[in-house]
Amino acid sequence: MKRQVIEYLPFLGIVIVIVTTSWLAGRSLPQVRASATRQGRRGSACARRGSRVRTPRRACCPS
Amino acid sequence: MAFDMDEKPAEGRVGFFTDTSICIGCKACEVACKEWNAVPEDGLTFTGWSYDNTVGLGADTWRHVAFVEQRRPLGHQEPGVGDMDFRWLMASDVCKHCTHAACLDVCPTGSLFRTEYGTVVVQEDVCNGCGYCVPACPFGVIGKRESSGTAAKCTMCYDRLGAGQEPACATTCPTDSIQFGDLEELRERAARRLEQVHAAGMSSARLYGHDSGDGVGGTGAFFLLLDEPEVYGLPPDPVVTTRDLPSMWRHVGLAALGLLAGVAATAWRAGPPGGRGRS
Amino acid sequence: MSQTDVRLDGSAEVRTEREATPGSAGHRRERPAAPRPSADSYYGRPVLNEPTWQAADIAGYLFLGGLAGASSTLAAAAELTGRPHLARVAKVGALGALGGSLYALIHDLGRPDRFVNMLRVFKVTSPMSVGTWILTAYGPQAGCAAAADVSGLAPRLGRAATLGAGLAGPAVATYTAALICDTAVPAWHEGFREMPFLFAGSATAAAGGLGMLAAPLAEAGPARRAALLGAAVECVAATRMERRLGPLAEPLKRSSLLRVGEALSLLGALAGITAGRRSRIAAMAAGAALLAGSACTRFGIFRAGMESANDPKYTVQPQRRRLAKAQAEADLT
Repeated sequence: MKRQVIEYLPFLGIVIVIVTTSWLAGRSLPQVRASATRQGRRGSACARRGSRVRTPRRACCPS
Repeated sequence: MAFDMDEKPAEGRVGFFTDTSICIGCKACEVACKEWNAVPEDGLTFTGWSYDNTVGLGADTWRHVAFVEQRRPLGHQEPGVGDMDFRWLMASDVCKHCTHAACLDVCPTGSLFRTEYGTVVVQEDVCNGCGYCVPACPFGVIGKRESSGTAAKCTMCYDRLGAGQEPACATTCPTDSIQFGDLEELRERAARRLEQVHAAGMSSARLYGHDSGDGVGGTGAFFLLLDEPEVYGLPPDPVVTTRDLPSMWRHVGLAALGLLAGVAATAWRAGPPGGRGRS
Repeated sequence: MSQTDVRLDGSAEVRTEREATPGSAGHRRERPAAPRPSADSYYGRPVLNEPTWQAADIAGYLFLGGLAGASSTLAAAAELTGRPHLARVAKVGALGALGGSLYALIHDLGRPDRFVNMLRVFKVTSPMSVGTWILTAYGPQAGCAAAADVSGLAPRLGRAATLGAGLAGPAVATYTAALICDTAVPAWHEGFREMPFLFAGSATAAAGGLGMLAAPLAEAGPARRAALLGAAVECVAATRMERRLGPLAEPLKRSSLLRVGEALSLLGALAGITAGRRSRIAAMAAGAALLAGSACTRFGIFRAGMESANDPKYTVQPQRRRLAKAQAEADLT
């Protein structure tokens, strides 16, 4: 049983590394405004063009 | 179709005809094979399965003698164990060297190849031990050797054939239950032998692997069995797995296109401003 | 148990030695001795040799390869529709999953030092060979896409690599179905019509899950919808497969991993599309459930295949039925 668990550790480690790096990568870009959803079309369209129009504010972004 | 199918085995294809009706279960073939090919020890265990010790074919067992005990009469024979009907079926199993060999088809390194004798051989120095051939074989013949990490199976003594000799097992077989020779000639011989055995009252005798119309295109090593193939641990209707591969690739292609279209659609709906989706 | 009922404590209900009846206590034990040769197998021994693939490596690769491929496609879609966060998350995730895939694949080889021997030949008859070349084409593009995005260097090259990886991604995610179906393992081989769709669905659900987990809410819309679509396709394909396989589906139906996988995928997808739109925490939980669900599904499929290879009845009985059917058809004509 213990050996079985050990065999799966590399796999679990890989998955955790993937999720963590991916999450960190998402945080490394300036945050979009999460409230865009509720602000309707104009807001979200702006956010989607975030590659050019970078919104520097992080204040209203949960988590 | 199997992609290997168009490759017509060369003229002068050789094979084994294993006539199990005259096998006496001496296991000389197992020993000769191990000695000649330097096959590692495969476990000295007592299985309790009649006189079987080697259990089945694998990386370290290239000849395997099966022992089957049945409470049934053997032809017209009197078993001599009281009133009980009893017969003992013995059969020396080996790699079938299929006409359409799944192991050869799926091997990603080209380590498995077809020789000029129409046999299928692993090149040990090329194999990287991916293990794909192991589940591909419909007979459960090939295995991955623990000690070397590479696949291994019967070569029909490729080295001996080159020197004009018969394989070790056929040479040593004391009853000629294992016969080696030109495949076409062996098939004719087997057909005659089957008639003879049938005439002797063994109506359950049949040939196995001789038919080039079966799922693996006929085998290079075929058998005369006295009962159903599964009794000896052989599949009754083996099919080379790559026969369905063209259909598999079509399904894979369709699924891949579906994935592409599906993901594109999930992003598209909300894409251009004025689209109806919300993100 | 064949011990007698006679005891030293002399309790009332115990017989005395004199009255003990031979053979009256207990019953014959179950003998662990050799199985008798049954009618349809050789001492119950499997016809096939068990695949030598390790679950943690190969089932793990089925999951990681799917995650990598579908993530690259999601990244390309996100990039094209102007969602830089989602694109970056998916690109980095794809690169990580690709690295994990390569580790698992090489680790499973009997001779890891000979990995490059895979590149000696290209064989369309061998899904592993085809897959090696797909990965060879896909890998550098996925790596380049992630590196260019994170570093900000060579944006045009990065964009081209993103699109290239996005197009190759579906092949990476689905060829693994042919990989396991192109074997004699009954539950895998016979399921070859549904397996690519099951894998495509599972991969999409996992990639959607990763996107939901790591990308901000405002951009995770495609991830949420992809997860829902993927989970739905996965469940439909699995159900169809189990129905079509008949008796061969027993190992699949028995698999608790598959049930847990389906439940997690569906729950994750539904939670993602509802609560996951508003709450970052809910989105992360849903994403984690989707990833876990996809992994459970792959391990479940892997285990069920192993089980079907290890029981001779799954090999012998379908072949018997096939022979009987052919015989019946031959008799009719």
